[in-house]
Amino acid sequence: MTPNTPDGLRATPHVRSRLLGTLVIVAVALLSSSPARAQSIDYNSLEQLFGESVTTSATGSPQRAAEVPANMTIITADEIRCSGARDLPGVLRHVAGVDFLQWANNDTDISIRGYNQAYAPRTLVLIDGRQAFADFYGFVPWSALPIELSAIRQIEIVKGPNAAMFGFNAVGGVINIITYNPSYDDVNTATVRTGTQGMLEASGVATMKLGTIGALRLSGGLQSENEFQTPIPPAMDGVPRRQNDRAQIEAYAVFALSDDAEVDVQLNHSHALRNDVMPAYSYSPFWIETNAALVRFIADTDVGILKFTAYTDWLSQHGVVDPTSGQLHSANQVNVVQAEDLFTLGSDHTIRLAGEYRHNNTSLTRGGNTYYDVVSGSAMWNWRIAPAVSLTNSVRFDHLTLGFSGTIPLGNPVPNAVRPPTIDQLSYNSGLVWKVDAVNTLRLLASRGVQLPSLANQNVGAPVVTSQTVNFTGVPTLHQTVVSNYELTWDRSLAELSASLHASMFYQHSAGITTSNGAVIFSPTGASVAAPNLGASNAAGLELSANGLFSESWRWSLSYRAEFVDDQFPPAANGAAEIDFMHTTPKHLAKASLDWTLGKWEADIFAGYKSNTLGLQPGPTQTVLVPIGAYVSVDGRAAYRLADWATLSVSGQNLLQSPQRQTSGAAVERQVFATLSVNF
Amino acid sequence: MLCADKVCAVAAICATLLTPLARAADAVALGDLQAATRSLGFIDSLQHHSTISIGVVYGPAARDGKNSAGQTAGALSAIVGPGSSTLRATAVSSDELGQNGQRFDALYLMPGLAANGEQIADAVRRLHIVSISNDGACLDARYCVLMVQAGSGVNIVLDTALSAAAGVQFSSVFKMMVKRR
Repeated sequence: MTPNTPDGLRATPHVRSRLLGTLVIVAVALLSSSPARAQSIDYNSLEQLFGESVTTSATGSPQRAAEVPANMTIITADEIRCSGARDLPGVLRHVAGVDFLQWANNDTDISIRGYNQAYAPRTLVLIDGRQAFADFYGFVPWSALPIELSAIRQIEIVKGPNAAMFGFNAVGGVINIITYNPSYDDVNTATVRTGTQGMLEASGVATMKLGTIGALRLSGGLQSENEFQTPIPPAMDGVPRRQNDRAQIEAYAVFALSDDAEVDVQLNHSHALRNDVMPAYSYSPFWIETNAALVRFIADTDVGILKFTAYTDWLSQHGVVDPTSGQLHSANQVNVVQAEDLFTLGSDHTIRLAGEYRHNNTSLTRGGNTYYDVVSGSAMWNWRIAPAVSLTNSVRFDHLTLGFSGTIPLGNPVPNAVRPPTIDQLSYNSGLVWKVDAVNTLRLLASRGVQLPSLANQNVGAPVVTSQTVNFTGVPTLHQTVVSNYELTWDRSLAELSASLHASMFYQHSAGITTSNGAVIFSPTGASVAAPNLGASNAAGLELSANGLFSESWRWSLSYRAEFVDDQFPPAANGAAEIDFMHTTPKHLAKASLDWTLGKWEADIFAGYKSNTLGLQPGPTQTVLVPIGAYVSVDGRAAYRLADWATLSVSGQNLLQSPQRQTSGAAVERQVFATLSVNF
Repeated sequence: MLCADKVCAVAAICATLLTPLARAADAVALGDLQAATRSLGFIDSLQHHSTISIGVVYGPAARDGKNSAGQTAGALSAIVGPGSSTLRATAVSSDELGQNGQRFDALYLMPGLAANGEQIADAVRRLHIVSISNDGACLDARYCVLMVQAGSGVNIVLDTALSAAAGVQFSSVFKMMVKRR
């Protein structure tokens, strides 16, 4: 699907008014503040107390990582630093069971447990619980995420659906990026980086206490680099690639209102020029701009921890140059209001009750905007059945109303009589955690999540794009994709070896899988290509991982995933409808890392193996499958601590072979960069 | 082999029976003390304290109890408290709690104080302070607000009834993350 030229949302005035409103709230908070501690999670103190990572991403309740009723991986700030990565995809590509497709220097699609594709829609990404997923096309604009790596405390990755907690689109997995809280964390870092592909980057994070009334974190970054020079396969060639640029700035303030209440305010802006591979597998450069404003009130009361959150995300995407369609522009605005109460009942029960309203609006449709409103209610019940056994059940109900504002132009391929539908969907997560003994933990997990078609794919009938050759249209009656996941996990601590093992078996059923292109709707003005529901897909897999230490200087990890996908699409659709998970999901995925520290020196090496797959490219009429051979990629980092406050490092990606073909698109190049980090 | 197993079993039983006495005489593991002091950071009333005063409680009849408690107090005083607060620990006999004008913000209970449990629980309720021990028996005898052990993993149990009786308020986050009884 390609963005169009219709009337875009006028984001800038909205941004200004919202920012102004936010500033007023900040001012009110400042005036009413008093010296106090904050009520949000003090991750650092809890980690020190329990000796392990702490998370709220599984159930909404604070939990030790070893006790969550989910298959979760937590990447710590230290692991991010040692990854040597310059961006989030560079960190995530080392994580067990995470699939990545690097299409360009600054364009990567990431998914969990396979099912990856251009504009991957199955992984919900959030920053401190605020959605960073772009609903209009159903993807994650990784290079435009408004966060600096050095501002991240930890990245929490939930494998499988977690929709009872986060709602629509949390089906393949959830990546929740947790940033440093200026109330508790003092982080003052400046980083400069330069490297191959003409890369230049500067970024910084600073935290400060605002007297006795609160705390503030500021961060920002600028990055510029050239695109890979490797040739784009002719079938995918579109608009010439451009230089990648990225800029980001954000502010995060926490104001204590009393001993038991606080207000958090977050403001973000980012923009990036990226060379995207579109859902139809052609290259096209885009400017993407994001703005966000969030206000959150948290209070520790006699009736539990109350939390009220309101935020707005603005995203706009502009085609840089398109000889066939001219200047492309589309925009998406998401307004969210959430309320929750988290409380304990007796000694064995923790309950979370929550409600949410969401308004999502996009300018994709000619002559107006397509939008939906979602009203949701959810509940979580954690029951400690016995000292070693706990059961958590979460359920969420979403009621969605799809609508259209404006005038549907003549020639609409979907009859105007088609009324926008309402959607009622139930999601659940259920997890039994049994600490069999001091070293063994078993988890039995079942979940159901719902993936919405992107707003582009379900917009109300009017043509999304009219190019010289073909019309694209949305289909408001498109069904949702329902993903059900069942799994058994086993964790074992091997204290004598300073190691731990993890194994899991999963079975996943996806019904009503959608693609952007594959149906044809005929109207008096001609045929329009539309998004269809293709059918179901089943996946079964095994995940094994281990990590540990030997001596005090060495840290290692190994992981392996075997996954077998069976698509149940109409035979004619296989490989021809922009998705083909059976052939594009690698059957074998293995990763390894080795980290060494001695005195002022650090060295880290990461290897990844992906078995041979097929990839998709545009064909004469529809997509076609092309072979991609198995490959091993190696990343590495070497660092020297110049002083307690300064570290110099050299790191690289795709070091083993350059160019190296990893996708159906252009081959990736070796990237090497030098980084100077200064703590002040 | 069988004989050896029986010898091991007898030795294990003897060790178990003798453990309370043995532990009473031992200094408490540093990991237990660190976890205990970190727990203090989640008590509302201690949030703003720059110095936290801790009474290390020993049984008056315990052999070498005062000496062990003194060692533990020394170890506690060397630990940086929550929020960079200073910990000032002093050994105190269970029958001297609340006497002689001594005021404590928290009590750390040496192991093997079950015989003095009633006395300690009464002091906790009367003085409105938290009592912490690494001795699991304190939970059954209901005289510790927190049982904190840091072995291969940190195990914390909160006695909600005694906590309420003492008026000790923990943050809700902390209460959700520990075992409650």
